[in-house]
Amino acid sequence: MKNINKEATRETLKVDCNAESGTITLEGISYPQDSADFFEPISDWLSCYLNEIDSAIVLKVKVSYLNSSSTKFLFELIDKMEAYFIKGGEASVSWYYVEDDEDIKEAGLEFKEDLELPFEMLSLKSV
Amino acid sequence: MNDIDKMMRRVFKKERAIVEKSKTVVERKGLTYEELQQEYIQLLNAYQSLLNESSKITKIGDINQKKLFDANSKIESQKEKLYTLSVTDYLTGSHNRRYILETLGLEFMKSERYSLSLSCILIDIDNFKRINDNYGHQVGDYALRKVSDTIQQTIREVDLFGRYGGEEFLIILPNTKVYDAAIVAEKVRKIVAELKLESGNMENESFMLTLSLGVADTQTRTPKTVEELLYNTDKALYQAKDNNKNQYVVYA
Repeated sequence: MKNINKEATRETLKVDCNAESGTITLEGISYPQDSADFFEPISDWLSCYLNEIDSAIVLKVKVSYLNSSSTKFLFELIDKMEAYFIKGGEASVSWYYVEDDEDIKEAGLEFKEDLELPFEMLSLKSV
Repeated sequence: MNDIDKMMRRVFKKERAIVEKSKTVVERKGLTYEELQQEYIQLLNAYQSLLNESSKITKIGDINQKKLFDANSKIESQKEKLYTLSVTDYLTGSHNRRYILETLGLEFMKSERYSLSLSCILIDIDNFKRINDNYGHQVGDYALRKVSDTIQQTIREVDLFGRYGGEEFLIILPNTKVYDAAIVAEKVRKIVAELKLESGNMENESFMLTLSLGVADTQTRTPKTVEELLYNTDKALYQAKDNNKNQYVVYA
């Protein structure tokens, strides 16, 4: 399957979906003009990976701003991984936040709540 | 349907599917109580999970909005600080040349439009070089600050004041005739001439200084431009210098 590689823009995340390493990395600011256009390929890639490769998957999130529809799509990705994990698959989320960014830390904790899926919170030193 | 509505249909496809399924349940005839109960339980679970997700999205949305708001407030306060820096003279804390010239331009236009008299006082500290030579630049800077503060406290609240350059200051007096401006000029001259400044040297010597001031307005020989008004003020100031300093001269 084809990996996805997108550079960050002023409004959208840097995306790296890598089937060899089993990782999806999302990094930056997310308020795309059309969240569906932006996130559907990532969601489809994840479904395809879980069905075809059926191997360990890690979602790495390093965001500093998410608009509401991006948040909704992030829930969709996490829900797919949660379902895979419950069925016995290996899956986890790593949520990165800059150490003094309480808002993004809080947002991560909100995603983490009620999940069975392993979800680690990792603080980054502020530059 | 606009683009945002189309996008929203895709964002909420899961929810829309549940609504569609509910419709088919309602339309189906002949379901037993147990079958209906099964459908109801499934829909209830779906509703509960959507409600849960929806409250989290709202909360995360609020967090992000707050973040954006905080960032905006920070930018606004930095903008204010930058503006203040851009119009302030770093040494004296009074307005700088850029601000005072911009303000003079605006006041000049107003005075023309409403046929009001606008006056200007250009001030120069007499023999300032001697202060720097005798006591050093730090004392020179202190003298500039002291003179600037004193002028600021002496002029009327409606007057505008700033450092014009080096040891020169400019007072803008809106809606003021030249002879009323002369009264302000004399007041400033007198108060500054009475100041006792500390030299800070070993002998703790104190020194005094005087000002020369040029006064001009827009109704005397009606200058057509700000530059002309400033030129007239400058001419009056140099007349005061030629007349042995420590005085004001009105351009006439």
